[in-house]
Amino acid sequence: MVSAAASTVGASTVALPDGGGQLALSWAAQTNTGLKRSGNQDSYLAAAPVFAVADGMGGHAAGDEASAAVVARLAEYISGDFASTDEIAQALRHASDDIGEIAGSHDRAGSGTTVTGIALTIQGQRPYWAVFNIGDSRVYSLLDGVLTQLTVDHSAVQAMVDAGSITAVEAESHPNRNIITRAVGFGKNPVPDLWFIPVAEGSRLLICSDGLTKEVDADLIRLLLSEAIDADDAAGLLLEAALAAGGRDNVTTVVVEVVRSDEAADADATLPRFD
Amino acid sequence: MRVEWDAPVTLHIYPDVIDPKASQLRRSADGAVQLLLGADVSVLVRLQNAGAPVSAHIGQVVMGVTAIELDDAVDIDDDTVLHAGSIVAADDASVQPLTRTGNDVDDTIIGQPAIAGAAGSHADVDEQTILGQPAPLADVIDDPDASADTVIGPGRSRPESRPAPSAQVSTPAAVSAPLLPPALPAIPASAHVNAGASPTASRRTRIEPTRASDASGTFAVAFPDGRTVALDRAVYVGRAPKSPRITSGVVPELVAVPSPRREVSSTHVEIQQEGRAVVVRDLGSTNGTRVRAPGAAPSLLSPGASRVVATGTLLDLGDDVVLEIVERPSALPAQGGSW
Repeated sequence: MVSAAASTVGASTVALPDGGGQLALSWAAQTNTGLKRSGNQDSYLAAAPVFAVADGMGGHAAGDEASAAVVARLAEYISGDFASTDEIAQALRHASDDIGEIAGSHDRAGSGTTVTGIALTIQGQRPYWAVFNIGDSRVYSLLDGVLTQLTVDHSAVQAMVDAGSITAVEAESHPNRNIITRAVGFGKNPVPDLWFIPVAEGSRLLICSDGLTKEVDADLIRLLLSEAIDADDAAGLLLEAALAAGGRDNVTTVVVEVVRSDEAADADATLPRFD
Repeated sequence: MRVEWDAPVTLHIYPDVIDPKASQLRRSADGAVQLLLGADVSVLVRLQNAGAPVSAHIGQVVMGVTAIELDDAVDIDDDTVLHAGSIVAADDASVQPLTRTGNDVDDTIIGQPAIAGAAGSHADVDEQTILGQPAPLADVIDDPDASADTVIGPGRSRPESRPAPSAQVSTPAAVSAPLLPPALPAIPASAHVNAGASPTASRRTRIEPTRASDASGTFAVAFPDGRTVALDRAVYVGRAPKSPRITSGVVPELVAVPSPRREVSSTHVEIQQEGRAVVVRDLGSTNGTRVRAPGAAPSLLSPGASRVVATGTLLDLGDDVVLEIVERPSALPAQGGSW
């Protein structure tokens, strides 16, 4: 993904298993080099059932190639209406091998990439997002006006926040905030985190590189994601907000909207029990 | 402390800005050896085809290195000599400054945390993202491999560090393998389960990384609709259950149960087998979980609490959702995917 800017839009409708009705998604993705960088090392994949963003690291073309390799492997291994966690894990392992070869061919100290994304899966007959993450790109969900960060960064500052030595606010300006503690590449087996989140009708999911989250705070992300008329509008508004805030890094936004899910997850509040 | 290589290596010397007494050796993917050096540590480098060792400094890339001597001013036995194996790099011995590629071409590089410190400015958000593990953080970073790269770290490494088995440094698989045994206790590749921002946020459960064997996979959960789910993996039950964070191991089973009166919480209870015991954990549900052990009066498992239960125990989540802990039927196949 070396072009300065690129975008994708799409939609799909799949049948849920055992007569569970239909699941309809629409999505949009945009990427931009930003205002300061000379090349775009972000790559994305936006094609049901998998949506992912990868932010490459490494000199010369190695970062581009690393992020492109991981989305290419995800696209290769995941097909059909629904993904499996085995497919995701296999794709990431192969991508890691690919990146090892890229690093070798460039004679660099190493190259690697973050990767985060969501893949449509079936768990216990119901549709679930398998949310996976390595690094500091992020997945958010917006449901009933509430924005939730689904992934946890693999970063030095996140580790310090977890340990209680700094606050989340302090993390935003900490000198070490650009240090990540896991990546795909560097000759190691990738160690991704995984979560399963029920697919909820009306929800919007945002997958983005740190070029967005280091420029735009969560309040503005929530506002733009909820005010946008559709996924395409949301992806564009968020990307423009990152550029307006300085656009110091490559920015990639992928927005997926669950237009319809007949097996709707029951997200309402639990009621007290009287018996 | 002294480290020797059988064949010359290229040594990249980076600053360790976090711990002035730290020194760490690690391999990079292209076979170069990286030395992280704290400000209080000095290093002498012995070059191939050269006589006396010469002093080397942070920021240098030194080729043709056959040995280094670290004066790290800590209580490491000076007689310790570490043979780091046959790491082959460039043949010629020369010293050149470490250069960084500027913003004009490549903005993102790979490096150690210390590189950010060398650059001097932390203020701009457009600093390169780098992969690294600051030394003082090594034990809080949630990375099963976190200790794998740590080779020498005063305060963490002990003088009795032994040379690595040669197989570790002579095989291609050892690209990032430690030159020495990790100084930190290895974190097993077991799953860390963290329920995020829920009331169970502070809870971190470690479950075994591998599927429970036949010997231990002897329990299951029976659901009101007739389903039986083997406890060869953790089971999460609720109206629309979410999983906690899964780092590695067996993918848990998520079982959604109907609750028209919405008495069952969205992710209500976790059931998993730990050794020969079955542990039920209420995940901060609104209404708690009623537990009735065989022959005992029902009692309430408070929101957030956990309990070991026996076969035959009934778990009442509300709305007529009553689960039973049963012996695992022999015909029940293992289903959980691995991660």
